[in-house]
Amino acid sequence: MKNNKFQRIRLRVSAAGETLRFNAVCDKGFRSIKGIFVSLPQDKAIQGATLGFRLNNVEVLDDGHEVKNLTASNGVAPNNKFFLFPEKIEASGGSIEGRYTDGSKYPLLVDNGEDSGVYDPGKVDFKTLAGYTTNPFGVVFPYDVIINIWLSNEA
Amino acid sequence: MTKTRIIYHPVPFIVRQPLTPVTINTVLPGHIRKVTGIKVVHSVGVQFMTTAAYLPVIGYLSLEFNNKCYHFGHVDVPFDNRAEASDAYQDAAIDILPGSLLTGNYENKVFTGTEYQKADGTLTDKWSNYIVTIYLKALSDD
Amino acid sequence: MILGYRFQKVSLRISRSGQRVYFNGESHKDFSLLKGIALSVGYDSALFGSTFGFRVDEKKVLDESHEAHLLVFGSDVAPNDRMLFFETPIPIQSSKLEGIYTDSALQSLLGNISYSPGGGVIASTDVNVKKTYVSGKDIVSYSNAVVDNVPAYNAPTSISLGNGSMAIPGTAASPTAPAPVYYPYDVKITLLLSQK
Repeated sequence: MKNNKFQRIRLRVSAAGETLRFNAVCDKGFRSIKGIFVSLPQDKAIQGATLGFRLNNVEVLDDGHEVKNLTASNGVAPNNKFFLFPEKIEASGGSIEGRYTDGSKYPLLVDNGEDSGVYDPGKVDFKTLAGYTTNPFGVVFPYDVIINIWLSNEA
Repeated sequence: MTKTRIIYHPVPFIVRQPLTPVTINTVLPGHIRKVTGIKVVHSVGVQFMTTAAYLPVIGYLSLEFNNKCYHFGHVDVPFDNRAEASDAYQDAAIDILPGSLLTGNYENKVFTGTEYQKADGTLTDKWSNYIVTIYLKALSDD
Repeated sequence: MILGYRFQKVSLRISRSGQRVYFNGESHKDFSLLKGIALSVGYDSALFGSTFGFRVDEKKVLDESHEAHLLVFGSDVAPNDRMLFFETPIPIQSSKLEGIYTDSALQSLLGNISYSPGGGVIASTDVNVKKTYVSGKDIVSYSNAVVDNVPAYNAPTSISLGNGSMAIPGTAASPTAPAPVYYPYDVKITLLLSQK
């Protein structure tokens, strides 16, 4: 029996600012989730993209978590590319509910009536972005996101 | 035992002429007990004089702590206009006398030709003042 | 049930050059240590000269003149190292967290000619242009923003006099334009909280 498995979840993003919800079940042969690595085909798409997920209804990463911090360039050694969770997270066959949001409206994520200051990410309203340039980094759609989840049986 | 906590204390200084060394002479806040790390970075200004994103050395800095009693040595100051940072500090373990002086000298090593400062000492429009910041990672008991 | 760590986040929007934004909030009640901090900024070029100050329970951790770019980590750094980690974690207990982001704060000091001719240490009173921290226990969760302008850095000027050109001392610089900064841009602050 292997001790490690990289489980993949593939998402297709077809429009700027799109939010995708996804569900998955962890392979039940592995006791814990050790880490996560997200791979995107375009560097430009990393800027501003967010990914959150819950495992068995427990928040592992909140929805505003930046994909930027779950990925790494080729300058990072392959063994260090995964984001390793600060603690052991029990998985065995657990169900994942996740949410990926494309970031190409970044840096203009929200408009809650204020043009500056602190904003509440809960009040995101993409409909009121009239007048702002979207997709300033020139992300090409569609693109695929591959979420790699590192499952392990190691202590 | 006094309760201490971590604090980051920046000491910025401005370089206004290419050929004149800058003297650093400042009192550290009295609540700083120990310096555990040092990092010296270029802050702003040099980017107006070069299109390079990185220059390994723009000047040399010598630093002394505790009223010139502790000589920290010389530090090469690079210019790095790339966003990627590292949280690395040069390790140190310097117990600080309360209210003591941080002293030193900075010598600029770039843009020193006559196209930046003419023979009569006047600066040309190619020269830009720049700021270098000394970051002290320290334990504070305030 | 919750996990033993949490990434608490604050987002700010900067809409003008030289703008300063203050926030305060409370650390999540279930966590007792603050282990690290990182920023992420929409445009890399916005970073240089911008500063970020940070306090916990009204005790300074990062000075207001702390450069924002030292808190931003690129994709060449391993994902688990992309934070400024405090070697001594900061104890928290529903603590008051405060931050001040100032766009292009240091540029505004470049032209100051009041220092000695060769240059020298910049007094913290010059950097901390205006005291914006709010004292007392008036904690407002993520909604208290103070926004104001500090004088923007004037682009280097040179006056043309016939054939020669005369530079204004102190503010002179070559006209090389740095990468542009687009406003508004967003700044995200991520704090790593832990239960133990």
